[in-house]
Amino acid sequence: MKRTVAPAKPLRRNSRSMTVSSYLFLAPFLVFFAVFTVIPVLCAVVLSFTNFNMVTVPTFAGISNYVRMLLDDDVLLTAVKNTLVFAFLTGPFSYFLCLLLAWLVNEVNRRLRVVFTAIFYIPSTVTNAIAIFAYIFSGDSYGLANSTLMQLGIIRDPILWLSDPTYNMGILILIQLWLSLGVGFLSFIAGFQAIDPSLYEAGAIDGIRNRFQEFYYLTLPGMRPQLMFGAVMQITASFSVSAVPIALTGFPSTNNSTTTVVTHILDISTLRMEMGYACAIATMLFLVMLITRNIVSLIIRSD
Amino acid sequence: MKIHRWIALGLTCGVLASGMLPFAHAQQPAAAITADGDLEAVIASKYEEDGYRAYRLSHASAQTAHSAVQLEAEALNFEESTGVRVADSAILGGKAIELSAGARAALRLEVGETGLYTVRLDYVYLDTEGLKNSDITLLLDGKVPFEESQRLTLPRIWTQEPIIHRKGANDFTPKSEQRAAAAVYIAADQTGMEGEFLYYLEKGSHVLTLQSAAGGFAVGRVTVGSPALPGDDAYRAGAKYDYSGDVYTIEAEEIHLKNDSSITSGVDRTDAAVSPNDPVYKKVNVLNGSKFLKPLQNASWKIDVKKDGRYRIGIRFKQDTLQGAFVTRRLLLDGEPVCAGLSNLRFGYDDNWQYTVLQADGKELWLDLSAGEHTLSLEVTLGDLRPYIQRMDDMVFVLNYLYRKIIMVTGTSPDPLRDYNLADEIPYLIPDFQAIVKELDDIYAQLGKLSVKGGQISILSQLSNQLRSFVRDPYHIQNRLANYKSNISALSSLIMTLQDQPLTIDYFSLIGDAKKTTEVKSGWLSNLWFQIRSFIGSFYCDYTSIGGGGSSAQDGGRISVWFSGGREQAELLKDIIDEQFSAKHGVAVNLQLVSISLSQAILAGTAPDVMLTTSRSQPVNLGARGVLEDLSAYDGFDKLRDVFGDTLLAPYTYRGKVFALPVTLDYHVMFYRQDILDELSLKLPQTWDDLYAMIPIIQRNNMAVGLPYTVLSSQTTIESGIGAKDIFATLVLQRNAPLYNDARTSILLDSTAVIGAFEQWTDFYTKYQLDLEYSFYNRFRTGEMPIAIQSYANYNMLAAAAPEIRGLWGMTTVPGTRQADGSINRAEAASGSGAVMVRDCKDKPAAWSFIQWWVSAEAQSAYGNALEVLMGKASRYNPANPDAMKALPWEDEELAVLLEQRSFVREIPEVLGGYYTVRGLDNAFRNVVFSGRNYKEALTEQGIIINAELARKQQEFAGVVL
Repeated sequence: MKRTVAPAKPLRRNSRSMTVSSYLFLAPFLVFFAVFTVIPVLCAVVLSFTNFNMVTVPTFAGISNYVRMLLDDDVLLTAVKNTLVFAFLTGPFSYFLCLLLAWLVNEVNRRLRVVFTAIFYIPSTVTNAIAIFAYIFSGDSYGLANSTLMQLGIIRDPILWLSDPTYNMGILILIQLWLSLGVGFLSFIAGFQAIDPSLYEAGAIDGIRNRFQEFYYLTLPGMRPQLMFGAVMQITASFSVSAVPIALTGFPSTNNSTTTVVTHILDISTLRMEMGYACAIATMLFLVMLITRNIVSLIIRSD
Repeated sequence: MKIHRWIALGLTCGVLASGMLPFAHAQQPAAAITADGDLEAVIASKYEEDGYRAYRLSHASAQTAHSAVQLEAEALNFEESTGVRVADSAILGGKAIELSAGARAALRLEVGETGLYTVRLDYVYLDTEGLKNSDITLLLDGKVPFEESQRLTLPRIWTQEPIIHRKGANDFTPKSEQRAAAAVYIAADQTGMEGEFLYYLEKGSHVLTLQSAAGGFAVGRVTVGSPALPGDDAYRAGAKYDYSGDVYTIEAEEIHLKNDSSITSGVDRTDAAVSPNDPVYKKVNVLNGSKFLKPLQNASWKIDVKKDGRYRIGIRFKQDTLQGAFVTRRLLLDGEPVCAGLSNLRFGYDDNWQYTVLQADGKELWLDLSAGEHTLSLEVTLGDLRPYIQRMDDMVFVLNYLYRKIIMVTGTSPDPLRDYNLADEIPYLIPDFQAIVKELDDIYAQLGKLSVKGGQISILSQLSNQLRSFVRDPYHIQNRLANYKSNISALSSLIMTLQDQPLTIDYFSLIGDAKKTTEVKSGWLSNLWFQIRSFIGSFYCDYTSIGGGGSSAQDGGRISVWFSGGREQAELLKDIIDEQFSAKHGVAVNLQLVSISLSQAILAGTAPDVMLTTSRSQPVNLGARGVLEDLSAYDGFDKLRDVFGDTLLAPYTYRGKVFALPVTLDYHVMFYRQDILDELSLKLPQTWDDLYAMIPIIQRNNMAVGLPYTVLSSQTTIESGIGAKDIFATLVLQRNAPLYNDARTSILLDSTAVIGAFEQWTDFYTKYQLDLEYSFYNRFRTGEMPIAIQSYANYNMLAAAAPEIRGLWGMTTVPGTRQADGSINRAEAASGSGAVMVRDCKDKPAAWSFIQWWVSAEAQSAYGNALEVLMGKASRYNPANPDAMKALPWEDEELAVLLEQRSFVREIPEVLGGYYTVRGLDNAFRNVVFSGRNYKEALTEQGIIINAELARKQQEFAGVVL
């Protein structure tokens, strides 16, 4: 059989101009990404080898910042511990919660789906919503939690929920969970929408017996990119928890009980003005996030 | 007692009587009441025995006299007068009595009938420089008839510079200036709650004496009694002229005279039709309602009437604050009331601008005007709401009283399952509740008749429903206390809302025509277009530039100055700089309003020359990094050192160099509720031991003592330092112990004195169980916290926003520590902010002269007073300069307390890494209070951590040469 060969040149020219125009479309984002993300990250790496107090010219300090980080910073140990607690408790838990909720929401009809999506997604857009927890867990005996528990006769004296190290971490984890139904949740819903319905039909013919099989064999593999995206977002979010502890338990918190790596960085950079050391910790955090991302990506791919 | 009730019943329809005798028509409960719970006695205890309320009750049968006696300077009895001078006054138009400081003027007075008389003074201030209003005491026959008559305040009269509308630019807020203008003062209650004072005079001759401690004004004519106002119909019938056909429109922002400098014109951009208006630039175009709302405030406008005639009055206004209610104004023509209707003008609620032609009882009102110049004034009054506000205020007092009685039995966190037997424990509780229910229901019904209804008022019925169910089921009262308390505070916030009578006015018109109106309306389309244009305009119009003009081409140099704070403050500051500094020194000042930190700006190379508002630890922090100028090396510094003393400079000093000069200073004083201390027979504590002795008594009655404690945040560690955060620093100072070593390289937490102070501090919270977090304002008002140590700034809030406890509280110095020799050490730590000069400053002499000027008493008092003029009493300034503080309008007794406390202020120095001190001490504190650890152990542990950080910082800065 003879094939008519399409003229190669125009196609190539076409594809080159396509490439150029694609990059043009990307350009605005790339510029912003470079200026506000790539360059700062590189700067941080460079600064991490210096002593820099924010107002005078940085001086080269070798690896002393890294030595201090690993050998001479007790608070960092607490911060790492707290961050890992956040990462392992809220991270995976909220990831699966997102997936489950997205699945459930996907099952209801269109109009309700919009309503539910809004309900679950809104808390993460309204960052100031956490302020309400300051009232709920106020240490005053008229705070909502205190007054309710005191009326019920469960406690006798007000508890300083947010300052007392016995309670504050637990409360933060709960709030963080409530807030974490964010972008991951949205991307999962989008993922469910993206799956071709004919797949389910084919699956039914091929012997899938229930919704759980359908979910496991068809839905999950079909939305791998969204799962990956959700995971990356979740990792970044749980490793960089800072806004909630600062807003609720104070900054710095009692005995550093809710210090996370990011609040520790903020403490060192903005309060103590030791930018070089702060950059060293930030660099380490960046590396840890990168490694975790790769591990998670391996797990999801192999699935 | 009985007599009062009968009289009141006779007058129930009369507004006055119901205001005076809130309880007279509430039926007395049959049950026997102990003197303790007698509501009338409780309410009476709110008012002073020799106060106006008691005075009126004792003359309840007297009628208001409607004849007026006018006293001129001739009536002066020189033998009994001192410090007075009779002189011709062109302003008052005739002879006037000038009163100097401490003067006493006795006037002979003959009245023709026995009755109640108002007293009116026509006066003028002799100077226009002072800011304090003079108080006078009015005596009848040598006696002060009632307490309030001791302090009648004659307001100074202000005018406003003309507004210049510039094309393509924002208007400046017009400045207020004092004017020696004739004014009328009718003796009245400052809060508007009692209205005009009525003095009882029997037929015959009397002596009316005016005394004034401050003096400085002249009184022209004294009028005792006032003729009855003509009714509206009578006024209409007596009209001389017919409609003239002319229409005059007056823009309300062009205020001619005002008796309170805080009445100001403002900008309204909510409506396209407000005249004048511009979608892009700010035009001063209205009389600002949020500044024209307190009873007795008076603003007047000048109007030139060309033709004799009858004029209807059109007014475009906005009243969007008192929902479901109305605000009241009294219209005066040439300073005199016109007729009943125009003296009681109501302006109803609407979200939008409204236009109305003034009317009463459905009939339009008019002014009968002769050709020539006239002044029209509007005066704020509480109008028909007054008696009800007063009755509600009494109810709040009684409800708080009963609340305290209940928690004295149950405690603030009662056991829900226990039967406290409240009805028997407090025998008067249920009958009192029943009486209050009646009273609340009656107020609600009466307000309904005035068509005041809706959201806010419904708290009255909510509260009475709750009380009704308390009466039905007294066994669960303790479980519902929190709700009861929040209902009380809702009621008292309703009172506060109603006491403010904001009315924003666009313009008003005199319409010499029976039909025409001057109404302008903006359709929603034109409003939409206006909003779109103003949105677009917001991209290119610079709303942040301060001032401009005035100080451009100067030859003495040019400096840039940063200020962080509100825009209004910055504008004020700019005016004062132009007037006082630039004009004298020839230095142009570029004032910028910023909110970013100085260190970032220095890093970016965009730092200013001078920063006026540097927070507590910044000067040493940045100074040690070598980016701030050492001010102690400059000429004239020694003089400033004498003004502030070494202790105020201590937090800004590092290695002998001073990097900032103190601008503001904040310290604690002790607030107390005199009524409750009396009830518990307690005296003010002089030492902490006295306070320890009081705490159990207060707590046994289930009330609380408040000590300051700021929850730690990054803000507090950097901004306020250690002094004002809590009382630890104060306790250390009172033990004469240093917190840091002399080189300021390490903290001394292991000395006996410091450990003792720490133990004392934590004991308050462990042994005495004081609350750490609480709302001082709320608890002090209810009386739940009769004694508390707080920043003195709270004084202004309580004075401005806690009307129901007026006169029942005070402030005094904080307790001290008794020393070995028996004396009391009252040292007190403080906090504040300072002004710094950046080392890269190009014109250092100019910057130095600017800082010198800014911390001077002259500049600080000018700024403080202007701030108060603009923003009102609640935002009183807290200057570090002692002379500036004296120049602020504090009352003498208050100032004495503040200055005494201030003389004990000892500042704690700031050290490198000082943020760790605050943090470490707080951790040690929390470890003791929350985790029950041993105080010595906790303190020692944190001492090691703090010292490690301080040592690290010393190492970091070892090489820095200053």
